[in-house]
Amino acid sequence: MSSQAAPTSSPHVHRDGFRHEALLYSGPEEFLSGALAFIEQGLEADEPMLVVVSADKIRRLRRKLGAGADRVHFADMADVGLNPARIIPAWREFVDRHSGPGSHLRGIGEPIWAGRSAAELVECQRHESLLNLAFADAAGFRLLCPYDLDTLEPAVIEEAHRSHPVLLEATGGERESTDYRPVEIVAEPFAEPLPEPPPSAPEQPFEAGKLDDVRHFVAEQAAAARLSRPRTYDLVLAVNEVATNSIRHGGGHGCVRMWVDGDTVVCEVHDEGHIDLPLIGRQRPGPGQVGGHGMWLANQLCELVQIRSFPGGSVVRLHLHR
Amino acid sequence: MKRAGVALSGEIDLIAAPEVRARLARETGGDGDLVVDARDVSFIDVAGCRELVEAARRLPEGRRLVVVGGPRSLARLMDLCGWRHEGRIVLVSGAETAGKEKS
Repeated sequence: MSSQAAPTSSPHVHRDGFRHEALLYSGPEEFLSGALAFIEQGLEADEPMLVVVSADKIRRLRRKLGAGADRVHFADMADVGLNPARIIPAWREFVDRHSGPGSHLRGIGEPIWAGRSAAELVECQRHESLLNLAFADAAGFRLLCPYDLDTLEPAVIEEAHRSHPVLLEATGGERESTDYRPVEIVAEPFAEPLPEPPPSAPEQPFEAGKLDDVRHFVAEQAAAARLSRPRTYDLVLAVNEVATNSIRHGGGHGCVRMWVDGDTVVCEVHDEGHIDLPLIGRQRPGPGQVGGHGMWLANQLCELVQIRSFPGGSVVRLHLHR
Repeated sequence: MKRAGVALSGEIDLIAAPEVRARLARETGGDGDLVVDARDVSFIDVAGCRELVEAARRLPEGRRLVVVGGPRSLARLMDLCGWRHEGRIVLVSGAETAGKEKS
């Protein structure tokens, strides 16, 4: 297989445009051979490379690469992708730092593993689709996303077919995905249903001038849920920003609900607004930028942020680990 | 030299931001750094921080906005939003004397 192999007729695959490929592998040995082949091609071509996988996989890759490992940037996906919405900004930083006219760069990113919770999995899958939108203009950037056929559910692999225009086998085979979801559909408001909150979840309606009610409600509920003080502080800040968005852009009022789900404190802000910015919260605000900080902050302060826009209004759910 | 200064207090959010903007705007005409005493501010959010940043940007070249004290959210938000790197705004611990930079 050559890195120059030009996929053919699909309107979604361009040799010199952004290439987003799923590597379908079975078990650790196939991961290593597939990832190493990709990295070695990059080393040969002297391309900048960033590999974001588990710490264990980084160790194995480093051992096999020897001195070549020094020419590859590595980052632990458990850190970078703790909140999957922080992964696109990390790739953006890499692309901005290394890309220039005619340049080629490579990445490997494995955001999905068998231990991800159901809620995290959905957000990771949304992240995979949004990559196609976020880097549509990133010519020369080739991103490989490994999926472990041995440990992931078949439905997860099916979704990988929808989020990746190109599928690679660890043994070297390459084909276009016939199920690829075009970016026009990814750009539409995200309306994936969320599980119902417990009926007993306390709620606090709010409107302009009543943001202090929201902050006090969140602090009180967080204390009742035994969330630590620093984490409570983060949650209050995040909810305050999301509720500010409701007042400014979401119809002027909304409602906050809070509950505990296992080791996670969940806080939901619901309003009558419509969120049609697919990459909201995934782009680092520029220095002169006036708005757009709220959802960015929520993603930096929380372990998971679920943003949904339904016909009747929008929902933002913030998750913090206790 | 007349040193411009504003003392703020309470919770500064979307609702309080316009008043903060107006008070800061009245003081941008002085000399030297514009000192904002935030020791009695118990909470500040992005809307509040944005007013400080905007006021700092409106100051003539060479003048800085120096914020003394302030709640934990001030430094946290300034860092996360990337506003602290601009150099026009300086955060000083309330325990120190105004004018000394906090590292």
